[in-house]
Amino acid sequence: MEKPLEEFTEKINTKEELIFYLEGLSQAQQAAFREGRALLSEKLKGKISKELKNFFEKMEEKGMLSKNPEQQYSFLEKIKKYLLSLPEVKLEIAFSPSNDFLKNISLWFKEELGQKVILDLTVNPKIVGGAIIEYQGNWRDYSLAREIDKLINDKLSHYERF
Amino acid sequence: MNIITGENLHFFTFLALIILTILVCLNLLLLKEKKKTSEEEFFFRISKDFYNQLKKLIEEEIRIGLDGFKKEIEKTSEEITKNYQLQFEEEKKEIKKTSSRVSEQMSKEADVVAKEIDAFLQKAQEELSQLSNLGLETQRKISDFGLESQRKISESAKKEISKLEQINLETRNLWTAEVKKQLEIFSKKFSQEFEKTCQLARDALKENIKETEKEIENYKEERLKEIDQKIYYLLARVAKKTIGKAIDLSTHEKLVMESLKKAKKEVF
Repeated sequence: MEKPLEEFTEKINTKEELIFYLEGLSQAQQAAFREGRALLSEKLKGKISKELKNFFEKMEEKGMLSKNPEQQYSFLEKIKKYLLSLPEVKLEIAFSPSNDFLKNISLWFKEELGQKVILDLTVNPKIVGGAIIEYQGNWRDYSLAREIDKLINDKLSHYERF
Repeated sequence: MNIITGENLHFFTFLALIILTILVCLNLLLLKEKKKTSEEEFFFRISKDFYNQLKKLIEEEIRIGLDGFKKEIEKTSEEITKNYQLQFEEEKKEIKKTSSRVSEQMSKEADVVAKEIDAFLQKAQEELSQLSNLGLETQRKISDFGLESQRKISESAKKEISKLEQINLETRNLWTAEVKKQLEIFSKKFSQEFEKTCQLARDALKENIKETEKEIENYKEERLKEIDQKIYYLLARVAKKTIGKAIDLSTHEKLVMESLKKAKKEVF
């Protein structure tokens, strides 16, 4: 993978961010044919996010993104496909996480799984603490709410035994 | 007395017919004899006309003879009738005489009988009066006897009544004693049965109370369980809320990371 693409991908941690960038890429695809032969970064000046603009510029500098609209379009399509192919992890937590924490989680996944993952994040205070995780059809509840329920049920079953 | 009755008339007619038949038969015999002698005497043949004339002549003779007979019979029967009538008249007179004589005799006898009856009646009346007197006497005697009997019966009845009263009193006393005895037996039995029934009812009641107590205990336990469950659920809810609020951000992050580490072992 090219370094600019890697750097760009590093910025995408959550599903919300992914949707945001996919929309930007679709917008860029539309813009590719609108103003004839020109650099994509120029065509989309002031119309796209800073991160996306920087990514296009870096790619243009490396010569990977020409002025040819068709080439621009197919490049953008490849990027979209790549982003959509990234594995998704559903994560339910009890608090609103900071960006740094999200980055840490993403990094942890990359280190542990050896690949970039997209976090489909849900904030649910009812789970008290911890997390409920779903990855490729596997679901696990590591929440404190479950722990409390378990404790209560154990107590109740203990009481019923007597 | 009339001698010519229906029966006599038949008799005379029958007699006349017999006589007539006999006469006819005699005549026929005479004719036959005459013919025989004539046949024996005259061996000559007679013509048919002569035969017929002779036959007619004979028949005429027979008819004349028969008429004569008829007249004679009538004459005889009239004479007989007259004779009988005369005889009847005489008999009638005789009967009248006899009857008057008999009636006289009968009236005489009737007078005698009436006298006898009167005498008998008088005697009967006397006997009747005697009988009446006797009846009155008897009635008086009967009445006296009745009064005496009534008095005796009354006395006897009084005695019997007093006896019956005595018996009644005794019977009543006996009955009262018997009833008392039976009542005592019944009372004993009843009290025994009542005690038994009471015991059964007490046992059943005790059983029911035990069951009810058991049910109450079970219900109590159930309710307590439910209450405990509710308390625990409430505790859980409270704990979740308080713990959730009490946990700071760094602890949250730590818990998430711990969850991820656990997941790494089980899921990833």
